[in-house]
Amino acid sequence: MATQIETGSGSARATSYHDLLDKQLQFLCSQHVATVAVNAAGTGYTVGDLLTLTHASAHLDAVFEVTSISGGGGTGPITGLRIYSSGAFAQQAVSATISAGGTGYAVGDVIQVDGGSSRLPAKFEVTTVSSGAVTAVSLYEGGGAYSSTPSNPAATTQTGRSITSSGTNTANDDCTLTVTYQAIVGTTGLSVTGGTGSSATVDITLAETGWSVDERSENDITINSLDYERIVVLKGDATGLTNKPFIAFGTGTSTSGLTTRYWLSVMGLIAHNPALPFESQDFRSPNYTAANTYGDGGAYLLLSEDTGSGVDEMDFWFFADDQHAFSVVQILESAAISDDGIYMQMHAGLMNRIGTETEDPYPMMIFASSRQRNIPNNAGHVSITGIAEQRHASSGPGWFYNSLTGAWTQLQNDDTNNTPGVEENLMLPVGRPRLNDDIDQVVADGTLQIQTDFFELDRTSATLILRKIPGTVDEFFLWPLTIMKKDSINTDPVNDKLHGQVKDIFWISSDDGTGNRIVNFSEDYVTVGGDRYLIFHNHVHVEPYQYIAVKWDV
Amino acid sequence: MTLHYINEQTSSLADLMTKLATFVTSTAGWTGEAITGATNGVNTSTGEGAFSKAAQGTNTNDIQVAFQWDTTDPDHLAVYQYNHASGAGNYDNTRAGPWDQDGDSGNGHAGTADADIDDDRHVRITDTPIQYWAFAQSGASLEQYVYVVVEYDADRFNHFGFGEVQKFNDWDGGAFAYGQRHQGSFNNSQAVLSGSTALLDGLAADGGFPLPNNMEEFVATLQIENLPQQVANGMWAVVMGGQSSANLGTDRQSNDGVSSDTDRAHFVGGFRANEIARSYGNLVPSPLSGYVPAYPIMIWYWHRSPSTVYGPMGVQPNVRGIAITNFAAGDEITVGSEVWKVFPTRWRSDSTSTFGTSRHQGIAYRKS
Repeated sequence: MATQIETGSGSARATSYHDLLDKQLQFLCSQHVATVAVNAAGTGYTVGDLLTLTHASAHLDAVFEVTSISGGGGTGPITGLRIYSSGAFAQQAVSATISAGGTGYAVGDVIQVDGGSSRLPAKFEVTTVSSGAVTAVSLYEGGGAYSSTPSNPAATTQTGRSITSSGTNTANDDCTLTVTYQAIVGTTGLSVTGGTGSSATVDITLAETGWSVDERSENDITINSLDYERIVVLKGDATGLTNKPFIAFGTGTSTSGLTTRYWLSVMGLIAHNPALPFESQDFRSPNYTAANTYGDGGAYLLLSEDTGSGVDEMDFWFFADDQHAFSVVQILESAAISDDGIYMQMHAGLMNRIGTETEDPYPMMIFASSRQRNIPNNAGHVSITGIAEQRHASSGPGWFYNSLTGAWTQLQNDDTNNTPGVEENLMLPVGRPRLNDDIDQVVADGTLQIQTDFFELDRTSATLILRKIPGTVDEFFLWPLTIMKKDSINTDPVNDKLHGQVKDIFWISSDDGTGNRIVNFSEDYVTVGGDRYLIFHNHVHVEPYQYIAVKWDV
Repeated sequence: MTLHYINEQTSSLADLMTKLATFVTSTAGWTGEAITGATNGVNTSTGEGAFSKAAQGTNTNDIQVAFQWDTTDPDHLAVYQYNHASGAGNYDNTRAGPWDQDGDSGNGHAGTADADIDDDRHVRITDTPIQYWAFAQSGASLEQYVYVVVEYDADRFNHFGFGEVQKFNDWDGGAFAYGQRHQGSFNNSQAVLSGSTALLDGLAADGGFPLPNNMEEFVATLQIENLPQQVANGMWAVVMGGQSSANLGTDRQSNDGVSSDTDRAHFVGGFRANEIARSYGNLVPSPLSGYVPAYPIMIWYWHRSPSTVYGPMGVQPNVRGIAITNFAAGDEITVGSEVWKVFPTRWRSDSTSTFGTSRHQGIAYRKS
């Protein structure tokens, strides 16, 4: 699995909601560093140093951590490295000149390069025109990701339009470009920067992260009177599986007084027909209800707001393989400590299935922190929750595809504690299924439970903090997140089922070893069984039970 | 990994123990303790038996268990667990009986009369059991255990066992033993009644009449040491439900004439309640759909004052809780290369009005 971490400062962080989506797509559709080895050991390095590999083909730089040095001192030549951030490298477009200007274009039009073989086609924005003919373009949304580039001059297709006086567009998709591409980074003897030493070089291997744009990357969606909003559909390679996952992202804004709120919509599909409008896609998770229309009850990743002085830059952590993507975004730039951070979560793609692919062809899960778009992002709200908490009584922002019923089904751990029987579709361990009736009741509540003792769905103080497992070194326990459907009445237990386990994300109790929560636990990592897991709290909630651990598997 | 399995007809309690002793020692590799007059650790003349084995998993102390029945009125089999400091092979024949060994857990009647044996940890066998099944695991670095299911009457089953927990982390201890208590025909909810207990069970507890007020003496014991906040010189825990911390009983460390009886710690979770059972124990399996959820028996350590819960501490190896709505006693479930055999906890019934049954509650043991 690939991981990308961009925090602290620098333009690699997300500077806007569109930029966040650009980076997410580049990460998913590019190649990442799969292995790293020391080529030249250099001198003067310190264990823990972070070394950056950058290149003109890097959408996102790779970063390596020095794990061992030689020489016996505090600094020395590097003998061991691990991948800290996988990077996103691709053969990509860097610039273009006009071969044929075409007709009907306006400044602001977005045109996509046709042809070649790409996971993410390059786009350009029309910057100047002359009587409807394109005279100059600039790179838009980055340079894409190609395995083989189209021949020059390359045909283009318009994906977004400027607002004309008549509100229409008359481009004829007859502009052609001569595109210059940057080759992808090599794999041996690569220089790295950073750390306390110098002269180290590395050898790497690259691997596809495994997603591709599936013939839909639109830039002409109008939301909140802005007509450059986007919808993009990706298909996962899901190597070895017959049934591939499709995920979709949309951008949008909402306005509340003088505040503009930015968000990404996260959606899933089990099939995609590029010939049909997006609103006409069957088997799509909510909540794009009609052309240019979103509704509450979807899965929305709330991002930095603009109250009149611009938007905060956002730290992010991306995790992905060719079946799923999970992201965490910290949207409060001024947070000096992680306890003050505002962390939003997003999941799209397949879970670990329970059963064979024939029995459960699409164990998909879609989640983002909010079911609503136009709400404040910086305070506890019933509509904003986390992937483990899933706190909503009836229509939360978590969905899974139920292959038995052929429907997207909403998760609902319920925001009223101790009410099993109301909720039916649960995320364990926090969700609390009803007990069976009569002869099928084989278990009872018991003395202690996750749901009522260690977790408080009303977000007050829990009765207990679950402590670490004692031993020579006390260990954290990582609770798998598992989706369960349990009928609210004892009708037909055949439909009771576990529908999947979320990949590589776990609930973890924050225990500092003394029965108190760990201060500033988020963004730290724990090591369990030799693997590292990054820690994040849910939104603004830092109670000991509001943390997840995400496998940092690089 | 070596899994052992046997199923034999039996004619009496003594016959069952004789056959079981052969399986435990000759097949599963346990030591039959050198009880005077014993064969493979069992003396059918005195109704006394003991087995032990060196810890192989992450357990730190040997597994040492003993048994007693009334040879004049064979019905219930008392189940004891002890922790002699010198480990396996140190059963002391000079002591009054199996309850009197060094480091005894405190559960199991201190005597041989059947009328008293069933007032403390035991398993009911009767003197006309029909058959038994035994499941065991041996092998280096693997958790050693023996699980026994007895059909003591037509379609009536009891379970007892001993072994070592598959531990999470490397805390000290891990050996366990359990019998089974059934509340009888008190009501129609025996499966989830606190006056019953089987396996490592986090639901058993004292209750109002006619439930017992000494449930801590019937439940599973777990050998533990040096856990956080554990009482000084503590050696044992009981696995049970919502029992007052002042009502968990003491061990019998004073058997050695030097030590003092010590309070027992409290483990929760387990077969019928708490975190795992409560979450996963409500799914109904069906061989028709091929969907057969069976949940692990997972335990936690609960220090009572101040209330602190640690864990999970581990699982009982190769056994699962399961709803047997669509299974009969002895049915086998194949999961990949594994074969599991299911039994009712006591008495499978589809009736909600019949008292004393265990409804659709079941236990699955790994056979191979």
